[in-house]
Order: sequence, then structure tokens, then C-alpha cells
Amino acid sequence: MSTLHTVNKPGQAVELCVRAVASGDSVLLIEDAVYELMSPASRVNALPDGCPVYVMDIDARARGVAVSAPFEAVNYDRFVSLCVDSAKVLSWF
Amino acid sequence: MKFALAVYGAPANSQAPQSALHFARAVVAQGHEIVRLFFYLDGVNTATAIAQPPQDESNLPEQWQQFVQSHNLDAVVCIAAALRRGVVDQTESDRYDLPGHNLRKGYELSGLGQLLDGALMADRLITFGA
Amino acid sequence: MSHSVCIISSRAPYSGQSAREALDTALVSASYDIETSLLLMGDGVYQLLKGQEATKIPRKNLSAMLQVLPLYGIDTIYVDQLSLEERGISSDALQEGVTVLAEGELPLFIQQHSRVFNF
Repeated sequence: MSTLHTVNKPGQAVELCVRAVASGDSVLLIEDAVYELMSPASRVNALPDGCPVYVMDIDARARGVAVSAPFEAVNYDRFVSLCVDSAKVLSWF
Repeated sequence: MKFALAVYGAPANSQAPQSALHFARAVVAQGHEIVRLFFYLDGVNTATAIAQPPQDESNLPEQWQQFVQSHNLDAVVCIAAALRRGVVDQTESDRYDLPGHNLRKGYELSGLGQLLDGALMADRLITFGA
Repeated sequence: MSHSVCIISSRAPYSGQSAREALDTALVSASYDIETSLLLMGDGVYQLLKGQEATKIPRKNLSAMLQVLPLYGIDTIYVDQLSLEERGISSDALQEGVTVLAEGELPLFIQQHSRVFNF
């Protein structure tokens, strides 16, 4: 089973997350990590093909960051479901 | 499914305790079980009774305590991390002859082993870092 | 089921208590007779630099504390090669007892552990 990686800030946390992701894993951006969506050069774009990237909806809204495809906005219920559906959860911060 | 949650950020310098509370509420609402909450690093400040945020801001330590007590959760605050940061219960206050104690009711000061135990006992460990 | 634990430590040694408290977690895990790996990534690789004189600031020398790990059955410390390269650190600047993991090895290495703790 795959791993869910949560990331809570831009910079090193994202970089290390990208390095640890295996194909089939998924990534959830929370808190300040949602700012990654604003950067065309974001390392999030370096993830392996087919790794879904989710974005915590309230964190993006709180910061005035728009979420559009291929990113998917999620709520906390979905966060819990993503944890259930993954074998483990790694948290990069 | 059994969850263990670890919180490493303080209310005043990170969003970690707020995110963890949102998450914990969703876990419980979906009928899953939280087998352990572990507050470590600056996260121990979430358990202080003497922080008083301005009235128009959310009082996270109070909200967390209400959540812990209403669901009768096993909420552990790392004793070494807490002593280092000035979060103590009556016993530790007496032991070190401190002028007071400030650990909220519903929390227990205990060792780092409880983080390991919680993670091994749970199906998932979710960490909210700072 | 027998568990294995990976502790990922990604902060510099003397900024806050993260490095110290990650190390404490590794020691507790190993003292429970759980197979335990310590992986240093990002600024965490600075923990391994030789010649630290932490008493100057004063703090406890984290590098010296890492050297007790073999007594707990943790014989090697894993380091992310790319993190070293990005910081211009060559492996001879590091203390002994280190295993360098190349970029592509990280996902599998982490997956091999049943529990992962990030710091």
C-alpha cells in the first residue's frame, strides 16, 4: 500500500517530501504549504507522474490561494479517508 | 481504525494544534478511534492552563481540553519536553519547588515511551509539526 | 508483527530542540528492542559535522550524543546524499559510522520501516 505525505510549509519540507515519494504515493499540502500552488517553479511539479496532490481547502482559502486542476481541494473528512486508504502517513514540516 | 496523533507545534507559533484539532474531530466523527494524543516539542504548550488569548481569538488550549475531556481521550504530554518549557502538574511543581503548576486537567505528563507505544498500538500515526 | 522504526531528523543541531528530541525518540525506540534507523535529511545533516564545540553557546554537543547510538544497537546513521551535496559537505567532514543513501534509495528505505517519525 502507498504512503500519504503531508507537508505544512514551503521550502525544505516540500523538497524532502518530493525526495521521499514513491510512485503511487499521494501528497497533501496543508497550512503554509498551500503557497506552493502559486509558484510555477514549485518542486511539487517534480513528483512522479500519477501522484495525486491534494490541498487542504480551508488553508488555501484562508490565505487567498486558489486551487485548480490538477490539484484537488479536500476537507478534513477527506484527509482522514486518505489516511485510512494509505498504509502510512509521513509528515514533512 | 485506530489513530495516534502527535502534536509538535505551540498555539502561538504554529498552526499545528489547530490543524490537529480539526483532524481529531473528523477522526471521531467518522467513528474511528484515537488511541493516543501525544504532545511533544513545543506542542506541550497546548496543554497549559495559563495562556489567555485575546477574547476575539480562539482559545486553542481550552478547545483542546474540552475535546479531550468530552471524548475521554488518552492525552499525554511529554514530561521532559514539558519541564523544559514550563508546563508542569502539581507533582512536578512540588518536586522541583516551582511557584505553581499549569497543566490542564485531562492531560497526563509521561515519558517519550508513550509516543512509541501509541504509534505501535495505532494503525496510523499522524504528526502535526511546526 | 515485529516493528521497525525510522526516525527522520531534518533540523540543524542547535536551532531549537528538534534534533535533540528526535534523537531521544530514537534512543527510546532502540531501548524497547525495536529495530531503529535514524535518517538525517535537509539541515539535519549538519548534526554530523565533526569538530562541534557546542559548549561555547552553551549547549550539549549533539554530535557527541549521536556517538552513543551504537550502545543502543543503532550501528549506523543514514544520511541523504543530496542534502550533503546541496550544502557542500563532503563525507570526510562527517563523523564516523555513517551510511550515505543515494537519492533513488530513499523511498524504498523509508518504506521498509513499519513506523516513521518525522522531526
